Amino acid sequence: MQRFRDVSDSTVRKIDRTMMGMAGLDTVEELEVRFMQEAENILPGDCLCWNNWAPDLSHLLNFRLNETYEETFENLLGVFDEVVAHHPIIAAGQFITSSEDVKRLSDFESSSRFRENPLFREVYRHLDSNYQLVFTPSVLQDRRIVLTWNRRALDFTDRDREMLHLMGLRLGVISRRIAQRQVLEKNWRSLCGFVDARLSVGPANTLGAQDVRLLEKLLKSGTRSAIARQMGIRRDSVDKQLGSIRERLGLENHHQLLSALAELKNPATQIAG
Amino acid sequence: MIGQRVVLGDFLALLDEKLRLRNERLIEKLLAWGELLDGTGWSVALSDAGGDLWLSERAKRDLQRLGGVPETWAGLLRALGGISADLVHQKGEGIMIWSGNAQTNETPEPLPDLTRREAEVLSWLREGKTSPEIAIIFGCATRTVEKHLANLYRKIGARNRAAVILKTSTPIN
Repeated sequence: MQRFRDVSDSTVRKIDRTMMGMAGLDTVEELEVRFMQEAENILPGDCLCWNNWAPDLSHLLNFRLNETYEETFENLLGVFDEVVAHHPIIAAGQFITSSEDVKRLSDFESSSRFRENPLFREVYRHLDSNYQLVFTPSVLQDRRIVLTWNRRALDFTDRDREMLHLMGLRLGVISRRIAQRQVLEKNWRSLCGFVDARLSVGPANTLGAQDVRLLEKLLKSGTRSAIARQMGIRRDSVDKQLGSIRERLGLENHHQLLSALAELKNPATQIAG
Repeated sequence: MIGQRVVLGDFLALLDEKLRLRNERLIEKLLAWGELLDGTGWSVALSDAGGDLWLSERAKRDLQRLGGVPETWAGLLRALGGISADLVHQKGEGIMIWSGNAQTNETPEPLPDLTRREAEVLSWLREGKTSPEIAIIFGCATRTVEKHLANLYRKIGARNRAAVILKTSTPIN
């Protein structure tokens, strides 16, 4: 594990607390808003930017800046596309490795030389980006999240780098899991749509994983006593769980439940009973 | 997919675990339904944002026939390029439910020729009625209902009510 020598334990705890507060968010977009609100308090800078790049790094999809600079950058986007290749880190082919550690612009090009860089002259000058840190917390299916922290007057220290790294690593974990959840939620809605379109009772989302597993056993082995034997539980317990399933689906008896299961059958497939 | 863990620092591992557990319940439900639908004759594929792939047994058999079981969602999309689009019944960002058989909805599994009374018995059976109840509905003797029932078992090839219901999903007119 990476060592963070320059950051005190209490600062790490502060970062952990702040980031933990974002773990319950539902979408990556909400995470973006919250992170940009709170990150400023942990690691101050002038122009702070959350960039969403295409996963293949071909172009910038969209971005979020702190308010002072939002409009400025908006107006410079056309030029930015033309000169971004001059970015010292991109020119050095190190943009992609910014997911491994935090890159500091001045390590690639001295600040006096960077002033001559077309990217600085056309864009960064207006954003007060004399000094910059770059980190890629995560690469999701549809975007690559890249954080760029910029300062006008003072370069970033090693401690600043570590701070951004610490925040970025946590952001990476959270964004990956939230993105996963968003896909799973979509899958779930899609699956419920499929099931509910076939089932005359329902809805499907009243049942938990356990219930569905039991129904699958019922479908396969057919009888409740066989299920009880197979699961090593009492027939009564099976009946009790099935009774609760029937109640939630609005069914009166066991044969209605079997009829409901039969409704799910693919008419194109023969099923051995 | 699905529930893989990355080795990270202590806090990161803890954070990841907390969030993984939150997603796990949804994954469990999706997989449970995937298997139930597989049991009812559908081929099911699921994937999460990681790009990994879960395939139901039936889906694996289908893909084997099509030339190989893919390991990624992208691979699945390529492999299923080979089947007709109207066999795919549900398609989402990370979910696909399809019918492996060439037959489609228009030609459901044919029911054997049932007499009017047998068909009526079958539909009451699905409602969960017992033989004496059906006898009252029909206004005939329980023995007569049981005779119809015996014929029904023979024609459908089932040994009991549960099997009759599970074997006949198509509506009876």
